[in-house]
Amino acid sequence: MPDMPDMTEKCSEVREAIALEGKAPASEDCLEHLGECTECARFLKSVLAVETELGTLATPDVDDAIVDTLLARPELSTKTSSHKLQWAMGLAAAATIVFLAARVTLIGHDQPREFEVAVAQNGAVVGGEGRPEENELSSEETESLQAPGYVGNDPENRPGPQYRGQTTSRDDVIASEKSLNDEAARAELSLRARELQRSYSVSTEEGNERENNNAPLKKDEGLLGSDVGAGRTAFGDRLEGAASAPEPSLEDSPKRASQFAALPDGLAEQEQRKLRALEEAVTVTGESPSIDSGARVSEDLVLDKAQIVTDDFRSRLVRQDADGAFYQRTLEPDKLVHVDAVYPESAKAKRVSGIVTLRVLIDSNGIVTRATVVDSVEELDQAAIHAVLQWKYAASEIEERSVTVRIAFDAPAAPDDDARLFLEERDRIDNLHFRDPRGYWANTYLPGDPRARFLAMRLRNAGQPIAPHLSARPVVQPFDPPSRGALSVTLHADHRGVSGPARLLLQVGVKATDNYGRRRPPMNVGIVLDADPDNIAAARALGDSLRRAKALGDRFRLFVPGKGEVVPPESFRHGPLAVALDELEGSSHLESDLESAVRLAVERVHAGDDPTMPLGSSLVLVVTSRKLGGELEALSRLAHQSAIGGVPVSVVGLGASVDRDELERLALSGQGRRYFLEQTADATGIVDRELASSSRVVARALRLRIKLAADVRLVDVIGSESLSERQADRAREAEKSIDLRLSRNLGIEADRGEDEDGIQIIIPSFYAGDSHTILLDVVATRPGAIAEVTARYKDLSELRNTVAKASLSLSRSEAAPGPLETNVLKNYLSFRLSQELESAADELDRGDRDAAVKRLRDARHLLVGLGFGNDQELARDIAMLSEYVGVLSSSLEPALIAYLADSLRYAGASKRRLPAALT
Amino acid sequence: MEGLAQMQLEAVPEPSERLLVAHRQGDRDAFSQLIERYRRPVFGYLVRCGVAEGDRDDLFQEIFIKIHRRADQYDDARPLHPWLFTVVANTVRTYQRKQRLRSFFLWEPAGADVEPEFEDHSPDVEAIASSRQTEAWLERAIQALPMPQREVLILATIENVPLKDIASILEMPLNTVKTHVRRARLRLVACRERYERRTRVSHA
Repeated sequence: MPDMPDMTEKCSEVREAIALEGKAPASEDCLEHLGECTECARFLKSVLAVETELGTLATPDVDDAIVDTLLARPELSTKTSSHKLQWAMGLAAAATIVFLAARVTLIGHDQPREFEVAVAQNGAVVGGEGRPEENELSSEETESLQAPGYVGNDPENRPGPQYRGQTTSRDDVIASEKSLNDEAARAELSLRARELQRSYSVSTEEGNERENNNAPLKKDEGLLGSDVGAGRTAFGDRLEGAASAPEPSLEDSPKRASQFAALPDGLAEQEQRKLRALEEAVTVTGESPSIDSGARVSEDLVLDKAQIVTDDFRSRLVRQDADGAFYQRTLEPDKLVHVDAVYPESAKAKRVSGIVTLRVLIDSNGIVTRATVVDSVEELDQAAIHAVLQWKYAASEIEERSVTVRIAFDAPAAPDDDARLFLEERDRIDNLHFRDPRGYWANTYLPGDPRARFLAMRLRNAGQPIAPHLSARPVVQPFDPPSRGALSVTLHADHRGVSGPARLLLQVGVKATDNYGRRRPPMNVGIVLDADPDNIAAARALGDSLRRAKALGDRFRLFVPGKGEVVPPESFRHGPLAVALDELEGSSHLESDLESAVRLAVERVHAGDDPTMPLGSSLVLVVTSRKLGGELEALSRLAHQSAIGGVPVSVVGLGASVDRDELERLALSGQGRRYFLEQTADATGIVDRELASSSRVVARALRLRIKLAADVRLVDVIGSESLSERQADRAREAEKSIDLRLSRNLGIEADRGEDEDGIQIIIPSFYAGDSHTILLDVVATRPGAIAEVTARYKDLSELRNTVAKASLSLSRSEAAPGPLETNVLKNYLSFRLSQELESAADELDRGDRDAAVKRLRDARHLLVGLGFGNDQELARDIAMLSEYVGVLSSSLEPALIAYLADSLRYAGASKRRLPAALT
Repeated sequence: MEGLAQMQLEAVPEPSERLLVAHRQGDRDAFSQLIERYRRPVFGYLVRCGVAEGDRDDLFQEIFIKIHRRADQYDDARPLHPWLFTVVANTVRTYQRKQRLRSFFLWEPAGADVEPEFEDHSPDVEAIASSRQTEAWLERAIQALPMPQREVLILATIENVPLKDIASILEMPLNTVKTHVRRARLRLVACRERYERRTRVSHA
């Protein structure tokens, strides 16, 4: 064993080289050593295995909503900053500081420290009655004060109007008053003014940053629909103002103008400025008013002032107002207790509407100590004050804070004809056509709506200043995620009880766990490319994205109609792909047979399918740029056969000629997903989502069985349809195929094959984080059991068969609906609204703008007329409809009409499902 | 042939470098494409570097805002990937420094020493049980690496950044980078062997 020490040293050297490079070292002697030393060879094998695992490790992805928020951030609208400019700004800042320090040193020391702050309208610090030349600042200083926190005069370095609109204003300047008689106080005052402004600037900046950063959270808060409200809600008159005409400007409103006229000049101007800023904020953020039961009451707290004030100072504050100083507006203090203003019965009877503006003082403990009416509506003032005095804010070190609150009282709309008819229809129990509450019904859960993504992109790129669709959101479902298992199921009605025959809406809710796996298995994919020359660029982008997404172990192959398999898995690289696409561009394959190409792809992918791999790891992706027409039926059959054999078929539509309904049908038959690629930039996202989708599924073969009690009769399953015997067979087949495959692969016992009593809906896959509702229109004849729902599914988290159940029984009661019951009705309204928005879009496309406006106005009337309680979600919908009606009632360019049609469609899609959650 | 070459050239996507330059020149769509291209690498880096779940989205946005603001500082003659990851790595380091400070003042355990929060460890979906465990051990093993080794490993193996660029991104000497990547791999191999031993024992 003389060479043993050498071997050890060599082993160490070789292993170090392997560990450094993550592969076998290139040098001859190392390779030779690896051939001789089993330990080192084993080590190499381990390293290679680790490298392989690292290579296939799925990368977590950020939520689409975050990207959308990021792209919408105002910072991105500003030009990229130059470091030269930054240097210049830094130097300017340094020079300003030195200058100020010099001034303070020269005029400020050994003087009494009593001071107060006074800033005139132009932003210059006013020193009272001292030497006038010392009361004025240089133009640079004035500039720096006018834009606190922004050094230098470069307009690019200042917040633009868009920025200001989206956050709180910083161009209003701190105001206070006191004349100073001594130079020292003035000097210190100057310094203090800057410090204050700087600190405000910083806090506002931080606040803005927080607001921007938390934008998605805010959205969630909004979705929760709780008490986030007052500070961020819009004002009620926006609703009414926009109802029939474009939003009137503040100056246009005679009522508002007269209110301002009654105020001292300075204050009037202040209010106008602030309200204008508010208008901007509302326009940009699209927040909504809240509505009170019977009457709408919304609060608006935006004109805030947080400032260190002494009692003495406070007493002079109003006087200062009259002198025309501005307020510093900061973020709303955190409100801990909110009490809604109660619409006085007397005012309600007289149908008095209006906005009461109050100035509210909050002490350091967060208690509202005083509420002063700034803008009065005589019969409503007391109600507003009474509510506001019960509010409580978070404590603060600031001795006293002042905020301005606007509370809008909107007279209750008498249910107009639409609402009355709607309610009558909802209650009608005679002359109804009842359906058989058994058999299979169409699945309405389609994971994702690519059309909405495509629309979102088009809307974003349109660069139009109005975006009403951004307010459209689906109803927040109050379902708890499952505490165990992948899915939870709930059953609710829109009534709390029944006392006799009654028409009910039943709602089955399914909620998936948020947790899902991240790893994507090696994929076996057949891509059938059926693109015409106009869409070749999109096809290239898709091909390239697939090539880049290809990970270790993936087997991708490309098929072209009329040419067969043009790129086999081993050649799926840039060169062969590019050549194939070039040939495609030069050929006229469109007359070729797409069905044969798909059939070939299905056969090849099935042949290469490894049944031990997870379901979904093999798939066929049909990429087409044309209407399928007569071929659709055969393709759907083929896709279905492929899916029940374990290979789903997904579809990507290229260009504007594709028929989205056709693609949807094909994807449904193939248990796959469908996408639309309008811009080449979308290609990567589509490919990533498609390849990752198999790892986002948390439940497979979900069989929902809804069994109605014997005396409950079914009017309809809303939005669904009863399946024909042939369609039902296909649903059963699909279910069985998943059942068998999961049994074979994952050992989840096969338990399907039997039909059950009741309404049956098969959902092949349910995705993490999703929720879905199914609404049933039924008639119950008496109190007691109404229905029960059973959700039987393959739980992919726990790898077992799982059953979730819920049942509903209604007592004899006339109790008013609670939040859960209201949620059911809201889901129904949301469904209806979604349909109306899309119909209005179709009408716009047809050039019938009047019909679209009427439809939207009717929808708005219905929502307003229903007089729902203090419901922010519905109020948001009403505001959105008002905005559409307002915009569409004015004269519009054709491009803007097309944009609004897209916007309406997007809003319709968003009412069903948040685009952010799209897969 | 020229035509063919041209076609092939067109098939190549717009390089990321061009996207940033286009963005600098005011093309907003270019930045959106850039985000689309880098969203997963950047977010993946945040997750694997142990950025708390509640902070990831904010940090993700902050990074791209920084990229936007500093776009003028980018030399388009050089590859974008290392430049961009310099911004990412520095932002994450600043964040971690703040977290450590916060932990110190709040008397919480220092962030660097605790097992960093990681996205849910829920079982993988529809994957074979062993694959799911494999995934889990590997993610855990990466999380358990000391921060410098983790940074280097992620950049080298997941983001495929050359070692000399990593040295520049993380401001480390090249030899230190090599040491870190070597040690990181050795640790992962050791973890894997332990994991395999345990699996064999449990199957036995």
